[in-house]
Amino acid sequence: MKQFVQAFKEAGGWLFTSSSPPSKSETVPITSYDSHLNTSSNTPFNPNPELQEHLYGREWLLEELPFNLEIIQEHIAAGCVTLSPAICIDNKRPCCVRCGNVTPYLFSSYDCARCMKRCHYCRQCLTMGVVKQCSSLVTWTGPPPIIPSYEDETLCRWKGTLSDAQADASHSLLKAVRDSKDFLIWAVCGAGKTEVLFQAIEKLLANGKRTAIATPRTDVVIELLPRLQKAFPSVPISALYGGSTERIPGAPFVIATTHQLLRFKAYFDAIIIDEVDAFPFHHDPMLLYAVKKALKPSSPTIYLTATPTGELKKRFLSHRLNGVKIPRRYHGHPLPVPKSVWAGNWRKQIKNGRLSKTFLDWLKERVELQRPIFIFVPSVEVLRQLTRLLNEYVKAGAASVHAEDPERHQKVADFRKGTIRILVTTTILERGVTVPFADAAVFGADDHVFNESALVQISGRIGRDSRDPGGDIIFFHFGVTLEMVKARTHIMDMNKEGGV
Amino acid sequence: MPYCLWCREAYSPAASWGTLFSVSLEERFCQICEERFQAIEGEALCMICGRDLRLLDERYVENRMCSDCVRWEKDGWKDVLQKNRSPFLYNEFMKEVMTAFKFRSDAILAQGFKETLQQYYRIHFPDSVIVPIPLSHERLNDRGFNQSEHLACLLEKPIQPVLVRRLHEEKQSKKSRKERVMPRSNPFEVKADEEIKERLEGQSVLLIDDIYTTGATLRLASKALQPLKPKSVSALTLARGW
Ligand SMILES: [Zn+2]
Ligand SMILES: [Zn+2]
Ligand SMILES: [Zn+2]
Ligand SMILES: [Zn+2]
Repeated sequence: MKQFVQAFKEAGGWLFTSSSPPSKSETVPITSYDSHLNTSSNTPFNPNPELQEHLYGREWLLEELPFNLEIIQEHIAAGCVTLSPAICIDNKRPCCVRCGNVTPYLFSSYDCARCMKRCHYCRQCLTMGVVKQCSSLVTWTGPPPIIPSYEDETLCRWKGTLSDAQADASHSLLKAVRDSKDFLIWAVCGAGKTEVLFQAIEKLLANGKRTAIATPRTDVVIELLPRLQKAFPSVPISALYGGSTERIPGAPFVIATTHQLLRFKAYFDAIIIDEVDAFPFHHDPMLLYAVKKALKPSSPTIYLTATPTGELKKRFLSHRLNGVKIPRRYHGHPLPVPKSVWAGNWRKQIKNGRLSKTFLDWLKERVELQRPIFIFVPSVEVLRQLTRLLNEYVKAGAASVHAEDPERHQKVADFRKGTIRILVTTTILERGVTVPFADAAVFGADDHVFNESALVQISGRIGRDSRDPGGDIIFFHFGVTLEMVKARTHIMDMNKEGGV
Repeated sequence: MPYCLWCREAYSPAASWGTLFSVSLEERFCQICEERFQAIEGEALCMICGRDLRLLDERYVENRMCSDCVRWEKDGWKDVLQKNRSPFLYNEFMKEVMTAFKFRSDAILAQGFKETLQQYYRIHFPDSVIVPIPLSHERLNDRGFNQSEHLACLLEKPIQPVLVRRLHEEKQSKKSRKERVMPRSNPFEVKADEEIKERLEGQSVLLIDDIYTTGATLRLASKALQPLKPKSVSALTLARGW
């Protein structure tokens, strides 16, 4: 009792839910609950199953809970729910308990109208709803809910067959998961990495283990959900991303953006991170913290990528991290190897309203062959200029997409349909989007945004369909960079390893 | 090295008149982000609401006023709002920043507008008495701060919070179109000590708000202030739709 009063006071002393913001009369000081608390000790307490499902393994802000004050109070009194301050002040320095932020310039403060004090708030995890010094984090400290067991069922209804390389990887992954070991699947674009996961996921779920596939990108969550629902039709799957509404609290299988993992605490028995090298996951200590927090202690993390970078690659190559490589595409054909073509000072050219002959010649040839063309550019500025020029020089229906383009999904759909012939894009489409029979150009491949991993990913868009496994991928440049060389070598090495 | 308030990238501050004289360098937008705001500039602004008349069809301009303001003046709201000025257009980027500022309670973002707002005060509304547009009690409790008061504080002048706003007004979407522009009753009323009320008598009053949309909010607030006999009521709003 004393403890929770303390937590309450530290948390500003207010309790309210988001559905009904407090007016003066609803905001009850903690002392008025004393009489109510005494009654609960005599009779055995039955936790509310809905609240239990909602809170178990989670970490919510008090104002995020769709339950009324009284229910929460009862559970706090019975020790089933615990409140704790969301921001700790340690040695005068604030620390955000939800996201792990301790960087001073990622905190700010103002005179808070809720707690009537100078109130610190965390700027690192703001997109998930503000965490203030007067906010409380709510966790479940009662008995865990019973998780359905699927032992007698065939959970995975996927009817396809794995290639030999996929089957090997699937087998090794299964073993790693059984031994609770971290694991890396290094699979070329088009290797069919999702199918490699099915066997391990099935095993985990059958044993009553909670599993997540997390990815830095919302697009990937949206794309994966129907595929996984089809593969595991009897399993409740929850998809979480910014703006999604969670319909299945307590689902044993979760597909989420890495940000959403911040709302979990010791929930998962395994987390698979897809596209682990994609922005913003890598280099973001918050997302690493989120994964760690969401996992139960000593549970495995599985990394999935075509282009491992930095620490992950080092750990794998030095055998500190187990893993497999799938160097061959599912259809068995080699990866198209990019060609580098000199295009002169492209920056100056577009500024002066010109385009290099090599670039134009290639483009016209591809347009004549009626092939859809991706053109990757280094910035939104280049995107605008180039698109304008293309509609002037090559009248073939060029459109552009960038990250903040509200019509992005529509344009990609039009490109698939063929109503848009040339799609000029920033690196946002470097992953995910594939269109059969397409070619790709990187315009300004020497720009610093095109590192090895981006160039490998871009090259991976091409030749995914077994009916057209070739396809052109050209790096138009004003001087070959080391990253371009590395990307080419990377792809050729994979082809060699794949024996194609 | 300072960090940009918005993109949080470290940046080297360009030596401009602003940075030369300002004491603190840290709480600003970097140049790249700053350029994404769209300033409302030039001479051709509506005398009242400050909208850029060049963006309007000629039919909607009359005596250097936009047709919206002409209508207000004719419909019994003559001189209720003397003049509004907004430094920025409410473009996509401003919308993003305002969403973070208001709805995610990222209060510090306001600091990035400090210099601009101070400059506007000096040029357009010198010596005006500052009154921020209030939030209703519940909304204030919800959000933890009043964005208009926050903007008003940036002016570093005394603030007279004489207005209060009654309970939640109904959700905008539930109202008819006409009511959306003008609610049936005025949600604002004056609530302050006599001594503070007297400070407005015969003075130029400046209302502070984040966004100018239809101008109805500001005019209603001005109406509520009229019993205090101000000489005039104007408004400084951070951004406005075109
Ligand atoms: Zn945080
Ligand atoms: Zn507070
Ligand atoms: Zn910036
Ligand atoms: Zn006007």
